[in-house]
Amino acid sequence: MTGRNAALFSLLSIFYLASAARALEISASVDKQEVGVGDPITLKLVISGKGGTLPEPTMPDLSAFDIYSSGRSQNISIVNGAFSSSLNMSYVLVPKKVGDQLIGPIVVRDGANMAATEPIKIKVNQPVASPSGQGQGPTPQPQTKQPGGRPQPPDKGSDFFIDQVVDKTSPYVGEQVTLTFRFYQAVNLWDQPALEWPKYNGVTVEDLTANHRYYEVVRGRRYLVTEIKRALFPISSGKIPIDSPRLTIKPDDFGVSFDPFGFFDKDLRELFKRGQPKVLTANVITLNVRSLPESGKPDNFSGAVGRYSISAAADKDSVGVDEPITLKLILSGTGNIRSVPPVKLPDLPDFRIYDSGNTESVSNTNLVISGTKTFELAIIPRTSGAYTIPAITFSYFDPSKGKYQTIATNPIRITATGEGLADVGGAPKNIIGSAVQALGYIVTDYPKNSRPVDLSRSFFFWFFQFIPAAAIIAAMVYRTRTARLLNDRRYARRVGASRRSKVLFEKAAQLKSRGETESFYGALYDAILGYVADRLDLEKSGLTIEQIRSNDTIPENIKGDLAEFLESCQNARFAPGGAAANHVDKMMAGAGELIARLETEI
Amino acid sequence: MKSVFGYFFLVLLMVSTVSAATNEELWKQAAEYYDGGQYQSAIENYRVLIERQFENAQVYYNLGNAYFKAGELGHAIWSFRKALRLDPGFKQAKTSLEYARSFNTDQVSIERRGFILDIWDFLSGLLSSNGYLIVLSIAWWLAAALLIYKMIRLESPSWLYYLLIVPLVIIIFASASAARRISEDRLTRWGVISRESADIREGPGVEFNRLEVGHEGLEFKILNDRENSFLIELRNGLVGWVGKEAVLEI
Repeated sequence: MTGRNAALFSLLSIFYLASAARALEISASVDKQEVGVGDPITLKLVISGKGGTLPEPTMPDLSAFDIYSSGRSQNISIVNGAFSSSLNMSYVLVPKKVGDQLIGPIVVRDGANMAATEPIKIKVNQPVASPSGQGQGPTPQPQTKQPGGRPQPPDKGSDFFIDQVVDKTSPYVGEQVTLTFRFYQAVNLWDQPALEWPKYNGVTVEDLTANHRYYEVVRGRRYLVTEIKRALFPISSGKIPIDSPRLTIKPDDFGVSFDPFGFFDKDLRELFKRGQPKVLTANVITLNVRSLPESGKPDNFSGAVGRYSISAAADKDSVGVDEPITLKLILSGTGNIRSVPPVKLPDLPDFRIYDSGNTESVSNTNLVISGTKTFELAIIPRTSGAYTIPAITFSYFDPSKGKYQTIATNPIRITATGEGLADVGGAPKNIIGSAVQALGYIVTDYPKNSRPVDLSRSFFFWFFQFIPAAAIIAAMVYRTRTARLLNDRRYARRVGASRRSKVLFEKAAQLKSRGETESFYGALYDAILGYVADRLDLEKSGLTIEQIRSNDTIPENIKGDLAEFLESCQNARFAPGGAAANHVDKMMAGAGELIARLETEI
Repeated sequence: MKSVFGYFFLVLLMVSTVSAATNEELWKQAAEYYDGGQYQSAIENYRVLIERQFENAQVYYNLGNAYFKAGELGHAIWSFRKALRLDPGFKQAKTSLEYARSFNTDQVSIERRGFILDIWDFLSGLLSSNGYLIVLSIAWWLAAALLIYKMIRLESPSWLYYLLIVPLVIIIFASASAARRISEDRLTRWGVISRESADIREGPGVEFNRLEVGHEGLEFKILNDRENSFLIELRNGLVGWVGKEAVLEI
């Protein structure tokens, strides 16, 4: 390998290694770097690389923290058939010691590729006094609680247990029931726990909170509690069982005592049981769901349960006939807003009505499902006039009061003017082609059963394009000929010979008709001599019959006839007493034949 | 037994009613069904019209709307594409197609090909093939007129030759765009997934590895076909096989 090749190889190798290294990346971040003991920190890891699967990270020594996994997600994208993935992992770290703690480099390896994070320094202070009660913040403060009213662990001293409770056991159909799931944990985990929710029959579910954490003392033992709340909405009456979730954990048996010398107190056989999965379950809850009362049920009740308000608004109050008005019905309140069906409109025979879609936003403020649902309608007056869209009513059942409520919008006045626009395909002109992202209106006018002309297959289209091509060819010929006439004298004389002789022939014919035979023969002589001079590019003034006889360019078979004809003209022209009438005609005809022969021969 | 006969008679009556109706009656009835929320009945009417060779962009467009309202996204996209194939300038069909596409589970991202090619993609998608052919025709006539004038009038100024550059550039662009439109709209086979989901595999059969799962409404080019499978290419370049039973060819 020459020195140049070696250098090139090295350069390519560097590029290759650099690109391979880029294939696997890891980054780590924390939400805060100065905390108190027991104050949780959120550590986020992002691993990205090529391919559909990514390696698991190798965590550094984090003995200064209690560590809990709080979720992971993976995104896979495909570009030109190549996979690339990113894995987002989230951990909660709870510091146990005061002082500067280090989250060392977190390493991922994939064969020869390796990537690592920068170390992160965490300053841990003395614990900060926290308010009591369970806050809703994203980073809960550790608290110590007494077990009053709380479930007890199945066995005294259990390392883990779960339980679930509901805030009410006899709800109405459609009323929110808040389910609280808790995971009590006294020792570390070898791996993140896997929670599997049961399949509920007879209820719909909305998530309220995820992974709210705090400490609680149960039977004298301190547990880290992970709490999750969900909103359940019964959809039928009767007894509905709420089965227990299944939580699969892998306990870290050697981390129980938090004592560095505790290792020696362990039965070494337990070393091989380390990380053995355990499945935790809780009690089954039975809901006794009450059906909604029949008494007082409004005719327009559509099953909405909760507390709602309704409003309606039109985007304009005066339009032309066949122009659309956007009518928005906004329903908002607490309850299972997603399940609320579209609000029914009263009969509006004076309008064409089209559903333009609906939007909804749902929130869980204060652990109560609430939200807004907006129904959008395009209403189009059929004829001109003043119209009133009457109050639109909506009924719901309020479980807190145990009775039905009916609410209504204000009436909306609309004026339609004009004769209307001509329909284009059955839809108003001003809707067609608008940038609004929505489904268009169907075409109502009966269409002709004809397909648009396909120009690429149309003979006439392509024939039409041939016309300029033909014109260009003609122009090129014209241009070439004109240029040659201007630049080539010989050519110009040859081309013009016939025209000029023709002029003289016409003159001769006129002289013949007038009986001026002398002049006639003179014109005929000039015409023939001039034609020969032009065709051969000779000077006419000096051209004689003798020169014609001796000219080599004139073929022999015509040379004699030509000279003889010219001599005849001269003889007849200067003959005393003039020529006979039949000789004039004969010479005229002979001149024509001679020109025709000359045309082809010279 | 009586009720079975009654049902049979009712179906027979409905079928005979549809069969006897004129195309115009079917058309109006379909619009009434649509307005009344009876989307499956509207779909039935439009399909009968198509079977009767009453096949035009408006029928496919309305059929697409009815399919969309009936929750059949794949069929809706197929219908809008059929409408646009028959009438590439049909703006309502374009708008509705884009709207329907926004409901696709698979929002396949297209790799950016670079500034010049992105501009080319944009410009060559502005008009239908007919539109580009008309532009081509106008530019061609203009270029020919300039050329002929320059050739006939020998003393005409030489800058007229430079002016020719404008129509010539337009001719090249319009020709290339028209060729692309004709190729993509008519010569290329397209398909759409009509089922809730379909496996895209490495080979034509369930014994091959699954590359991806395509969901209803996913559009792709059909490159080839075997007895029971299509070889397809997604817009992001992924190539694989999918069962014919899950595909509507456009």
